[in-house]
Amino acid sequence: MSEKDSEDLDRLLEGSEAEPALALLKSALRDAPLPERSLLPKVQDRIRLRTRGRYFRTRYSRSLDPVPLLLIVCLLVLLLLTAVFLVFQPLSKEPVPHPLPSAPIDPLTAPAGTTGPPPSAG
Amino acid sequence: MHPSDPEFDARFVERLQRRDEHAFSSLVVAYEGRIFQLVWRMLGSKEEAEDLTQEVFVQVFRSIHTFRGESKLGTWLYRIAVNLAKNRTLYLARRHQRSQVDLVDAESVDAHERAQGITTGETRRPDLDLVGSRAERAVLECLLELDAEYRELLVLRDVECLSYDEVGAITGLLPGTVKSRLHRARSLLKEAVEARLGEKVP
Repeated sequence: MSEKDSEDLDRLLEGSEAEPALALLKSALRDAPLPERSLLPKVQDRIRLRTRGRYFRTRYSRSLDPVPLLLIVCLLVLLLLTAVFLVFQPLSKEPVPHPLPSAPIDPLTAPAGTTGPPPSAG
Repeated sequence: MHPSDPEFDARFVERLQRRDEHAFSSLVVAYEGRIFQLVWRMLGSKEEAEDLTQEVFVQVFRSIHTFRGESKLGTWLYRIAVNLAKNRTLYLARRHQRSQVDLVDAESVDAHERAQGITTGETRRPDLDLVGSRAERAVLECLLELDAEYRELLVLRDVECLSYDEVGAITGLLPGTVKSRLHRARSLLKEAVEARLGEKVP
């Protein structure tokens, strides 16, 4: 195709872009429908059947993204470990005996010599 | 997925070629809407579009190892979808012809009527009842009666608004051929619509 032919064709195409039939076509097809729900499970089923179960066999392989699943598993393990730690923590340490705090001494009833500083020698 | 990032695209394709199931699932989710709409525009039936979209992804899974990265992944997907839609159109036309022949044989209608039924290939398309005005429905019916080769160009260029180069990459035609066939397709559509509506299109 020569350059002139190409230019003529471009001009013709530009002209036909204003065709009412084309405008009708565009407006009729502009809002094409979408599938009512995702086709992913059906696609996975077809592949699983046609590969005789080699792909998309397990629930894990059918999940869209492994990250959330791994995250959930990690969180569950973490929670479990925390619970185990909390349950067994009191048994793992010997209780430390604390001395009872001494009761305050009443100076009126206390035996002599037990209150106040000791008498001085001089 | 970020289909616009070439580096990400390359790594993503690698994962697909390793048959990574999670990558493949992401691909389906990212493209199922666009592929469904393209196929619906070419076939005019939601049921067929749903079935064919699934087939497109099965085909992608099967032949992803042949993808060499010479075009964008999306273009390659569109190419598979368009080819499968063309095959399905031929299959449906053949099936329709057979059912028409069976029907007319059973009813013993004369040969003239029989020939008419086969050549017009008219089928009731309930999905089109949902489409706006009478004129729009007529345009869609005319589109669906065009040869698949012309229909794909009208859909890709005039409805999907792809560039001539992209249309060429999807159909395997040179840009010059795309333009001349598109011009022919528009003329055929215009003639068909005018014939159907019995008047000049407003």
